[in-house]
Amino acid sequence: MKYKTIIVGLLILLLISVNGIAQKSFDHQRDQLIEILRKITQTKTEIDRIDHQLNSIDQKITQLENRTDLTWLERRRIVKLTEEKALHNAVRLKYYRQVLDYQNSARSISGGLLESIATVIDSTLNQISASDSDARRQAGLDYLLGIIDLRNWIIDSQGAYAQIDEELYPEKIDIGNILSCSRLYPQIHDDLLNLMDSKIEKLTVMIKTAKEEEILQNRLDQFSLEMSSVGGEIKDQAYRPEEKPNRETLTDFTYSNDSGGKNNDYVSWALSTDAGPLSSLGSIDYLPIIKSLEPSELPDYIFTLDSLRQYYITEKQKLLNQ
Amino acid sequence: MIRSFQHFRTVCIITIILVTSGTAFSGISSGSSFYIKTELISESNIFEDSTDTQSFGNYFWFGMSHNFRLKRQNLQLKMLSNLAYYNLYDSENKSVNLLTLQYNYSLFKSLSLQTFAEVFNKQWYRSTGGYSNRLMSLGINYSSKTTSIGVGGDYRYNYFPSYEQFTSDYSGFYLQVNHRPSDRTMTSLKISSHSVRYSDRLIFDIDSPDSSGTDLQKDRLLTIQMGFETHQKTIIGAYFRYIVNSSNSSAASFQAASCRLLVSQKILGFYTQMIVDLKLKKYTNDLDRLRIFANPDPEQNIQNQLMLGWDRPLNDHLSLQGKFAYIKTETTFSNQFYDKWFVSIGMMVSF
Repeated sequence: MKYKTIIVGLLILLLISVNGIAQKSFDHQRDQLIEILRKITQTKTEIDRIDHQLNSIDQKITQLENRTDLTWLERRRIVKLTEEKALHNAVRLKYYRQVLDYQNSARSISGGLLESIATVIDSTLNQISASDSDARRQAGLDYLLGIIDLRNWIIDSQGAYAQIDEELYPEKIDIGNILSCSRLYPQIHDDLLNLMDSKIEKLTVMIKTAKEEEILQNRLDQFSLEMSSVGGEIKDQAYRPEEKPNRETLTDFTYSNDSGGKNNDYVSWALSTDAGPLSSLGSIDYLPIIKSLEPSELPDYIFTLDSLRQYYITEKQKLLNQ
Repeated sequence: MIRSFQHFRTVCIITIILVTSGTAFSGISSGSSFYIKTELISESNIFEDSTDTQSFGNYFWFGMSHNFRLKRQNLQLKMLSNLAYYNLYDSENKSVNLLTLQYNYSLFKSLSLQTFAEVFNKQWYRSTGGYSNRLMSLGINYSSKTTSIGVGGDYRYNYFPSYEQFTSDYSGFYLQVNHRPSDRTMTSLKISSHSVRYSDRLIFDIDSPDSSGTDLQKDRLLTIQMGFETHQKTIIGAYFRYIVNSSNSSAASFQAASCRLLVSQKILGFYTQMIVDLKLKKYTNDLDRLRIFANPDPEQNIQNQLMLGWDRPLNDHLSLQGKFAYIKTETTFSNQFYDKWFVSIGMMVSF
């Protein structure tokens, strides 16, 4: 993580110094938002649990009240259950207020982020459109793609905290459309295609590397298990630890190929993932080409990379069709 | 023939259980795989004794793995089955079956309950000596991004129907700490202590070998292990283990220091694996002039071995595999060693 932060920082500095295009990173706000989204999910889970308990208590009370000629013990039981229900309700209320607070914070952060991103997108677009330097234009486009990725993710995540009746989700941005007005669009179009090709190629290499590591792990495990099973002392022969430090397990997520659609998988992935290296997966800061993960994480990692790759292939196809 | 049928029936039942459970949990399943493999083998000293009998034969492997994941729960089922056939020596034909089940329940964000169960069976079709063991383990694991600490207890029952004196149970506890200093490196430390009780094995006094004691053998086994693994383009690991066995039987106490080196790397399109085990074992008392029957299966308790494996994928599901192994370990008698080599080549289909 430390190295990654340093590398990303150096890359940003390098881009700024070489290309002269100011590029703002939103890592901190994004991590804050991810953390709040996780808290919302956890608290909602607790509320669901309490609701389940309240339902159970209600059923018990109803059963008792439906009886005729209640004994003293049964009446006492109803009193106790009612007291228990009141306690659960108090806790539920506390959690509910927490959720509202978290949702307010999330709305505030995401609103601020979307505004800042809109400003940055505008200024970057202006700089790209006005730049005659190929290198600066390409660096700007690269940055723009990353910012649009982040904006799309924020829009997707709003389902967890937006007051749907009152707020309208902003539209997702089609990069081809917003750049088509530029006087330099023919060059930008070509630059974008080259950029997409470069990203697809990079992701292809990353997928291949991750698959190689997965195969190496699996083959070693299989070889070791087969040889020790013939002997008969499986556990004694197993030197390698079974439990390792827990990287949060990724749930599947896919980039929506339909840029206007909701992407719940992406949201659930962000919600279930720590603000660690894997949560920052986007075109802003790609993971290192070779990355060690637990064997159980590799399929998810490969799937995630493949989804990103598919996203860029689809976007490239859209550009080609324009 | 009857045992073959029993084995086939066992494999079928386990397969059906795994497949049906996989179907039942299909809504939450996060992955499954299986493979079958057939190998042509050549093996020296197949009886692990002084006859040094060499034979050709076939191995048939079947492996299956299911992983179910649902929010806080994770269940992993694994099965491995091996049928070994030797061309000229029917008495050595055997089967090995292994079934493991691991269930984790996440209590809080960093704390989880972990259970593990294992059933193992090794059976010779035309001779006695088969045995089985069952293992149960229960523990709590704390896990952060870089460190995990696990503590728990386990119980293992070893059943030798033909050699009742070796039927025993292990019970004890373990403490395991794993630390990841960087994304590419993993270190681990494990300490465990077990008491071993034999249900029908009398203590042996080496000073008066002709007169057995009346007490049953009881051992106390202490194990300390540490190691590291690094994952670059090559996976490299080294583990060191120190074992102290204190027994009330004077012929069974020993100390042993062992190490395992492992490497997995892709070379010229071949996935290669190498495992080296070395063990120095020293009995507390001098057993040189005694022949003490200490283990009915000399393939168990492997002490020194060099194992090389390679795998050449032909397509997504088919691959060519080969193995070589050199083994030097104790025979059925304490402190008496045998050595053997093993070569195989086979074809694996995986899904």
